Amino acid sequence: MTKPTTRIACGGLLLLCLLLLSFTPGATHTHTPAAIRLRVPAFASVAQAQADAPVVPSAVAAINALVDEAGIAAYFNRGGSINLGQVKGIYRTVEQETNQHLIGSVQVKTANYTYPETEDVHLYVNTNGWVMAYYLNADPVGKIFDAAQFDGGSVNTKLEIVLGRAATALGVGSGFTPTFYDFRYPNATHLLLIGEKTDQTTDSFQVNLPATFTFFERGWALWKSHSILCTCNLTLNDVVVATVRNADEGKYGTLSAGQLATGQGHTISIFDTALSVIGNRYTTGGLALIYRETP
Amino acid sequence: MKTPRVKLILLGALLLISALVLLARSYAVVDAQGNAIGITGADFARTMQTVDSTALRDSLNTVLPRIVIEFADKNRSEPLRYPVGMVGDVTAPNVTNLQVSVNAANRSATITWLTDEFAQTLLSYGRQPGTYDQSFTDAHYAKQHTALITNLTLGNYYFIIRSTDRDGNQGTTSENNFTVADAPTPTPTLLPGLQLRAIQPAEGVTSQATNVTASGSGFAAGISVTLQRGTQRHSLNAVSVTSATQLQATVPANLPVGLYDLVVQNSAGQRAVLANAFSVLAGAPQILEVLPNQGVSDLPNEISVHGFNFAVGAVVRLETTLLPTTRINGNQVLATVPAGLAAGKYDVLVINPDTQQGVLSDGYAVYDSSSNNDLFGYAFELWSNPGAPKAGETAQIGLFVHRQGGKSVLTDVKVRFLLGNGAGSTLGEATLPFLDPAKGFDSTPPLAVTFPTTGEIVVTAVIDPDNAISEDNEANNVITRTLAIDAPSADRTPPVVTDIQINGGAHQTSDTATNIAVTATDPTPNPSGLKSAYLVEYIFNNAVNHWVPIQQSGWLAYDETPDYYGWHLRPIAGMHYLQVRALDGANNISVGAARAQISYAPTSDTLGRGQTRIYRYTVAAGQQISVRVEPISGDPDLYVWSSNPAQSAWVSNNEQGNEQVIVPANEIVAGTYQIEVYGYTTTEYRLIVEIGVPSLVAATAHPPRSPTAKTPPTAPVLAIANTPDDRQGAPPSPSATQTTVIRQLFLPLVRR
Repeated sequence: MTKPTTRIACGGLLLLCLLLLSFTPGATHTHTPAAIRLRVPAFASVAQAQADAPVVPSAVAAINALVDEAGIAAYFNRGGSINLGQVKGIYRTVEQETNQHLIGSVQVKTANYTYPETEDVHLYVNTNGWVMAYYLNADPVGKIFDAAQFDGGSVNTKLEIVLGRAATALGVGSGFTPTFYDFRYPNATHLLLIGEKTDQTTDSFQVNLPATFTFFERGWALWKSHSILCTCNLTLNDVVVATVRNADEGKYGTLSAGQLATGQGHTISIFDTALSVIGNRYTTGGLALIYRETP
Repeated sequence: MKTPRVKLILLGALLLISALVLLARSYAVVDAQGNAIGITGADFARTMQTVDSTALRDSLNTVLPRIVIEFADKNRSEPLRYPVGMVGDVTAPNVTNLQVSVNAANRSATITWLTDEFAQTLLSYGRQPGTYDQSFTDAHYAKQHTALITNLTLGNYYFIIRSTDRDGNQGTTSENNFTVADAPTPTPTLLPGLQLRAIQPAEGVTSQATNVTASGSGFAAGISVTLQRGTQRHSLNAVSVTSATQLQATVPANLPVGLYDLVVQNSAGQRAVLANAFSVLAGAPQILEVLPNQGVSDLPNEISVHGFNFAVGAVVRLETTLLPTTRINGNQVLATVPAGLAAGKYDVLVINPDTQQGVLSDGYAVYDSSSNNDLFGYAFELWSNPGAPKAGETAQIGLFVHRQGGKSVLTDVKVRFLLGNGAGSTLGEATLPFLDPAKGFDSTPPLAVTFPTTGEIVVTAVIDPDNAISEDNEANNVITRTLAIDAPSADRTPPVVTDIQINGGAHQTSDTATNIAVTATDPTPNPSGLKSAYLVEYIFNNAVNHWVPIQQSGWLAYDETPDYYGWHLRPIAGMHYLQVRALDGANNISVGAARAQISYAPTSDTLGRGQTRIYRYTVAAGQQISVRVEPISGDPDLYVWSSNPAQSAWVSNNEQGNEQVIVPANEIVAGTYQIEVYGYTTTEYRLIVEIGVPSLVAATAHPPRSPTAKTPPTAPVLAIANTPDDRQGAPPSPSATQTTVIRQLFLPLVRR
């Protein structure tokens, strides 16, 4: 079982922070920027100040932690209270559980496809009705693209798949409308996903970004679903950006403002040298852009 | 989707076929009226219907910029919306690291700060404290903020920052300020072009002319130089401007003895004033007043002796005890009464080097610290409201009563007010319900009085007139003050002092030479116009536990808004308050809390054992304050208090070495911080205070603490909210003819 390097890094940093706090005199008065921000209301802080009392993160502290750690996210409100027990079963790991909320990771799985654990989505569920699926802020926005199941039709996201799993568990079914937000870019107004699929050949699209827009992230995604031995590339203006060779292997990243400059056309191509396909498995990819239309 | 190359081939083939078909046809080309137009020899011809190009352009104008996508299989756009309801943040953003950079050359200021969460920016600013009529807005969310303000003019700007986070929580900083000055200087500058800073020598004898040199700025040919006091104007002779910053002149002989303001006026009519600048001396010293005129035996006491003819080298003695003396000018010397003197009354002497001396009999009283009880008052605390009562109209008068010593609370302390020097009619009585022992201090309730006619009157207040309270000193209970009663005027509204800036709002100075900017208005209805300003400088004397008016001006002309006055603080370390009163054309005097504070921190200061020096600084949210006391000799201790009475002091009371306290930004209670340096033994020390954002203040850790048996105080020596009372510092009569050129003296009439 391979752990994603980002999660290892985050875990290591957290451990380091905890160790530092443990050995720093007067740590209660020290603001550690890297640490989770505690913005606890007075009544909660009094409760937490009880000596030797077990530290139970308040709902406020938890949501502030989410705000700090989350990147691209999709959420909905169930429209009523939630019994956490109903949804707990879909979690692969539970990182935090209180009477008010659950935080953990959930496997991205549909009836037709199951993503490997590297694609797991974080899920926050609160008894007050809020459900939010998100990737950590270190993950590029392209990671949300449900590339493995993209067949040239609708563009879906892994966040919605996990929200769907939660909704099903909560009895909401498909009766929810997700709203997207990227906590890293408070000034962004739009998310744009552009999908391209190819099989046995090369397929391309062109994009021209207006100079009047502000782009916060120029993300890309590349996913190879089929198991045929081949080399699959994503190129930008004929320059290889990423390569995948194995079945169910995906890569994500970001392009710089210089690579995907505004005011000029760019060609993004997906190459797949496989000689045949199995079922509806393709090599897919595309762009994921976070931007603001007004200055 | 096929590749572009395939698409292009198909499109080319289609165009080729179309062209071949068109060439095979014949054309009948007609003009706009339907007439046929003959064309010969052409291979191809085509007409196009013209359309209204304006409509097309308008239509195209509705196409907004967009991301153009070609040949993609699919795309999807989603708006991004912050989940306000889910996050439910109720905490406003916190502003830190506030920094201001003023570009004097292009009249702009760049203000940067950080917020602890994403927040929008609204920076509001203006020229007056509390009034922000301009703003800089940035609707983008950020944690690092920059506001560039342009088109500024010279002078002070005041601003606040409102930060709004994504949940709509809004936080507002306290007021900050910056100064746009012609040249970048460490000290914020509010100064006009013409300034006066000093005069040398600052005194002369009346029997002969005195050549003087004045320093300042903006001097030019045609400037006039005068010594002024009240209605007196004495022009200096032989004025010679040697540079823009220096001029020479001659003070004529035979000027009346006393203390004068130095006034210069350029050819454009601009004036500069250096208050209390020049003393004219003649003959032997004469003592008029000692402030304070008493103290306890176990604490050293810093006193101010006022009078005439105090020559260079003059010293003060309490009978046979020579006091350490600092001569301010020919009319004031400061001296320190040591601890340990026997209780009793002492004659005060000022002795010039030529052995001429002045004596004030029983001018100072020493009380036994453990057993004494005395009531007394000062003329500067015999107050009236309005400051200049009107004939036939009700006014209020009152007196602050002090109590030295005592063991229990006194009740019903009576004060009788009389018209005249004690022999006139009784105006009425006012009774203090309670007066605490051990340096108690309070004002009587106001007594309503009506003065029927105009002119100068003397009001006398007699403390404990029926002698119901046994005191160690019954001779200091009678206080007098002269009031000028004016005729009622159409302008019945007193002026208002809206702003006082000492050195442009600086916290601290190590130089006694300061510049005071006073802003006042004369409100409607029927404003008669601003005429004068009156300044009183207070220090806090912890030996007697009350504020002492260490220096006053006369009524100084108020010519412009703001008007500027050169002012030399009296050289006593610690906080100095400048109280200002304004006078309008109808002789209405402003009331209220018009005062500003600056801490005077000289290169070094000395304290006797048990003596405390108090400094006050304003610290804003996001800043930290670092205080270090470096002993040169002896053992000073350091206590720092915030304005939150629930907080105990930050303490550094080592038995040797430096004392240091750092209050970090996250513990700052925005507002006043009081620094108390306590002489655990007689000590000379140096104080270093740094206030700023943490990155700007040396983040030196607290020094190692050595074990100490010292017990830190549980309360500040003086409550942080304690400032000179609004009613103190009674201004001189605005219409009184000043027959003497000594500053108003608050001389208690000793009788009984």
